[in-house]
Amino acid sequence: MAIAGKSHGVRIWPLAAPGIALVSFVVLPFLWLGGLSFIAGGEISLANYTRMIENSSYQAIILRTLQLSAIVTLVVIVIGYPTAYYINTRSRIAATFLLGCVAIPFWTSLLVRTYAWMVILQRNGIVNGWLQDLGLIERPLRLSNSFLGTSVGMIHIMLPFFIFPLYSAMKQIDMDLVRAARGLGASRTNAFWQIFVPLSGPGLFAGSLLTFVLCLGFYVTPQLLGGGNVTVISMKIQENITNYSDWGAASALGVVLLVIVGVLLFGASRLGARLGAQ
Amino acid sequence: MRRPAIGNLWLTPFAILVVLFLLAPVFVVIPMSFSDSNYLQFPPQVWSLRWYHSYFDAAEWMAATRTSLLAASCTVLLATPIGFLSAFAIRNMRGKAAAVLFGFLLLPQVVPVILLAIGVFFIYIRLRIVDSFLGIVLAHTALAVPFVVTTVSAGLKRFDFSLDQAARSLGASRFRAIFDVMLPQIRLSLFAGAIFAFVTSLDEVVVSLFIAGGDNTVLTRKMFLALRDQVDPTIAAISTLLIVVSVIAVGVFMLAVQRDNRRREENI
Amino acid sequence: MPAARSTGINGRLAEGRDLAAVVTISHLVKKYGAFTALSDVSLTVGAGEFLTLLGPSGSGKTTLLMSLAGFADPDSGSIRIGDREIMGVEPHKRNIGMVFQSYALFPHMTVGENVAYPLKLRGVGRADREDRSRRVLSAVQMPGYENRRIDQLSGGQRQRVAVARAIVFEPDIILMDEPLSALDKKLREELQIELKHLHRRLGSTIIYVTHDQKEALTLSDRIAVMNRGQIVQIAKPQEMYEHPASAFVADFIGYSLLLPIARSDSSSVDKSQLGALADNPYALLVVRPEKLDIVSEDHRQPGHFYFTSEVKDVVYQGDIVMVYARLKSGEDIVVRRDSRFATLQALPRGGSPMRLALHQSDTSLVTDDRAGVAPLAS
Repeated sequence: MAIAGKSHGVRIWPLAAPGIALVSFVVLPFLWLGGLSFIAGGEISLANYTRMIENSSYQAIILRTLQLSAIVTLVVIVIGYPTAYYINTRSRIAATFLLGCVAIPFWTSLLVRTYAWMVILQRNGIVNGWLQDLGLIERPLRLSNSFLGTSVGMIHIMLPFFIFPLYSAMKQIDMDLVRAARGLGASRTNAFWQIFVPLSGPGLFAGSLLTFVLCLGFYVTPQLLGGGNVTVISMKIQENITNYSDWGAASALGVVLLVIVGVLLFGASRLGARLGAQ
Repeated sequence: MRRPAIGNLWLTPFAILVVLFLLAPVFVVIPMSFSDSNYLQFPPQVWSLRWYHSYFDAAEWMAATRTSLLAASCTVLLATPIGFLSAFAIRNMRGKAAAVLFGFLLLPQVVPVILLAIGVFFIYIRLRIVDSFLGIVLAHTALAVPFVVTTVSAGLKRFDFSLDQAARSLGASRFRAIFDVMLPQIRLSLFAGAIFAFVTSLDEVVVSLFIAGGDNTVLTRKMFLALRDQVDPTIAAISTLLIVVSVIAVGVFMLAVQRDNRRREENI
Repeated sequence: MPAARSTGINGRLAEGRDLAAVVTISHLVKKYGAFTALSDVSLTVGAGEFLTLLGPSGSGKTTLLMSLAGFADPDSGSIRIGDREIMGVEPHKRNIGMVFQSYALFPHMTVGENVAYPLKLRGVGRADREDRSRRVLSAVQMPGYENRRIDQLSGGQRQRVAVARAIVFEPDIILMDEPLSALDKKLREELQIELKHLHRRLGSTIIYVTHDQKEALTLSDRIAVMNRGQIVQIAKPQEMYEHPASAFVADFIGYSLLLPIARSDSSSVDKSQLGALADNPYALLVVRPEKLDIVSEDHRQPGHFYFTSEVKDVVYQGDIVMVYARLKSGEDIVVRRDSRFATLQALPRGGSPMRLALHQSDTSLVTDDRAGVAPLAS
C-alpha cells in the first residue's frame, strides 16, 4: 500500500493552474459567445434560434452534417474493424509494419491529405483516369467537389483514429477465451461472433463515438473537397463570421453543434457507466 | 506468437487494399511535387524541382514557414512543461477531482475546433492580439496541452511512485527527486508529448485561419487559402516537406523507443 | 558470523551514535475519511533495536512506517528521533534510510550510482562516494557489482542493493517495508539470517514492517503487533509467542487453538498463577499443537490442564506428524509431534481415545478481542 504524493498539506492542484488557465482561455470565450447568442437587439431573445428554424437552409446544413458524419462513421467501422482484427492476428513484425502504415497518414498533416485527395479525385485525376482506361466509364465522374469526395477524404482521416484505439482494445482480449469456446464446440464463426466481437464491444463503441463526434466538427475537408457543394455546420459558422460578421447567427449554430456533441458524449458516458455496472 | 485466425482468407487482400488506401495520398503527393507540369498531373511526365524552387524562392512562403516553425517551437516549449505539471498534479490527486481536471484539460480535443476558433477570434479582437505571434502561440499551446497531458499521464501511470519516495527518503527534495528520478523515467512520454505539440501547432489550420493573418501568416493558413482559390503544385512540394518533417519526428521517437526496448530485452 | 561491532561498514564505530538514535512516538492519530489508520499509537524504540511492526493488512503498520518516513501526514501526535521532533519535517530532511517492498531501485542508474545517490545528495566527493559504496556493497555480499544495471540483477540481489543504499549514508534509523515479501521462501529465509547478521554488525536501529509472523519471530528484538490502528501487544518474540496478551495475538502469531477454560479439566492447576482471568468463565486458553503431551488415562500431576478426546486422523508430514482429534465438548484439537521412530510407534490410531496434558507454563489465558466479538473484560 503505497501512499503517494500528498504530504505536509501542500496542495497539488496549483501545479495544473497554467494548464487550466490556458484551456479556459480557448474554451471559455465560446461559452461567452454562446451566451451572447441569446441576446438580440440589446435584450434577451431567441431571435438567433427562431431564424434558424424558419430558414430551411440551416436545417439542411445540420442534417447534412449528421448524414455525412454517420456515413463516414459507418464506413470507418466496416473498414476499420476487420483491419484492426487482422493486425491483431499477425505476428509481431507484421503487426508493427501494418501499424506503421496506419501511423503514416495519422502523422501526416490533415491539410496535406485533403490536398492529396483533391489531386486523386479530380476530374482528370488518377481514379477517373484508371476508370476510363479500363473502359468502365466514358466521361469522368464528379468525384471531387462532391459529397462523395468529402466522404472519402474524411474516411481516410478518421481511419487511424478508429483503428489505433480499437487495436489496443483487441490486444487486451484474452484469446484463450476464444480458444475455450472452440474447445467447447463453437465453430470459428460462432466463436468470433459470440466471444470475440462482444469482448471488443467497448473499444468498438468508444472508437465509433469518437469518430462520429470528430466528424461533426470537420471544416477543412468539406471546404476543400466539397467544392461548395457540401456545406456543413462548421463552414456555415465560418461564413457567418468572415463574410457577414454575424456573430449571433454563428454562435447560435455553434451552440447547436456543441449541444449535439455534448448530448452524445454525455449519453455515451451514462450508457458506458450502465453497461460497466452490469 | 500467432493468434488463432478466424476466416482470414479474404482478410489479407482486404487489409492490403486498406493499407494502399491509407498510403495513397503519400504515394501521390511525393511524386507530384517533382513534376514539371503546371497541372495536377499524375504520374508526372517530366521530372523537375521547379515547385521546390517556387517554394524556396518565394519570400511569402518563406516568411509563413518561419512563423510556423517558430510558433511550433514555442508551442513545444510551453505546452510540454505545462502539460507535464498538469499531468503530475492529476496523478497526485485523489478520486473525482483528478477525473474532473483530466476531463477539463482534454476539452480542446473534444469541442469542435471551429467553436474554439471563433471564441478565440472574438476574445482576440478585444485583446487586440489578432494576427499576433503571441496570439498564435497561446492558441496553439492550448490545443497542444491535451496531447501532452494524455501522453505524460500514460507515462506517470507506469511510473512507480515508490521510486520518488525512495529518492526523497535518501535526501532528495521534492523538486530534486522529480529531476533525478521521475523525469528520466518518463522521458519517452515527455518526448512523445513534445512531438505531438510540435505537429499540432505545425498542422493547425482552422484557428489560424481566424487569428494568424497579416504579417504573421502561418504556413497551413497560406496553403489552405491557396488550395481554396487555385491549386498550385507548389503545395505538393510543401506537402512533401511536411510529410518528411512528420516522418523524421516520428522516426526519431521510434528509434528512442526501440533503443529503450532493446536495452531492456538484452537483460532478460 | 557475528563480526565485531567496531567493523561498522564505513570504518566508523557504530556505538558512538547509538545513544542519540531513539525513536519516541506518542499519541499518533491518522484518519483517512471515516477510516482510522492510526488511533493513538505510542511506541518507543531503543537504540540499536530491531523492532518489527506486525499485523494484517489495514492494521496501520504501513501508515505508521510511512508516518516515520514522512510520506503520511498524521493528524496529531509526535514523532521524535533523539531529541528532534520530526513531525512536519520533509522526508528528505529526516535522515532515515528506507528499504521499499518493491526495492525502488532507480532503473536508469547502475548499482553503484544507486548506492552512491544519497551520498551525492549530501555533497560527498566522488572518490569518497565510490569508496563508501564499494564497502557497503561488500557488506551486503555484493562486491564488484557497481557497474551492473538494475535490470541485470535477481530479486535477492536487488534486495541487497536496496539495503546497501539505505545504510550507506549512516541514517539515524532504517525503515524496512516488507522487504522480503517478493522473494520465494528459501531465499527469504536466507536473507532473514543475513539481515540479522547485518543488523548485529552495524548496530543500527531498524523498524521493520511485515505481515509474516515467522519472519517477525526470526528477526526481531521486539515485536509490536498491530490491529485496527492500535498496538495490541509489544514484547520480545519468545514472550509474544509463549504469552500472547490477547486472542488476536495468539491467533496471529503461530497456530493456536483458543478453548474456553471450562472445556478442560483444570482441577490440578494452581489458579493463583493464572492471573486475573482465572475466575473469568469466558477466558480462553491458548493451546499450541506442539505444547500438548499425549498421556495415559491415570496421569495426574500438579500444574496441568487435561483434555479427553477421540483421535480422528493422523497425518504424516515428513518432519512432523499431526494428530487431529475431537474433544468431548465438540471442539477440534491438533497435536504436533516430531516424526521420530519412537514417537511414531507410540501414536494412537484413528478412533481411539486420547488424553492430552498441557502444562500451565505453556499457556496463557486471554480474552476474546477478535473481529466481530466484543471484548469480555477490559
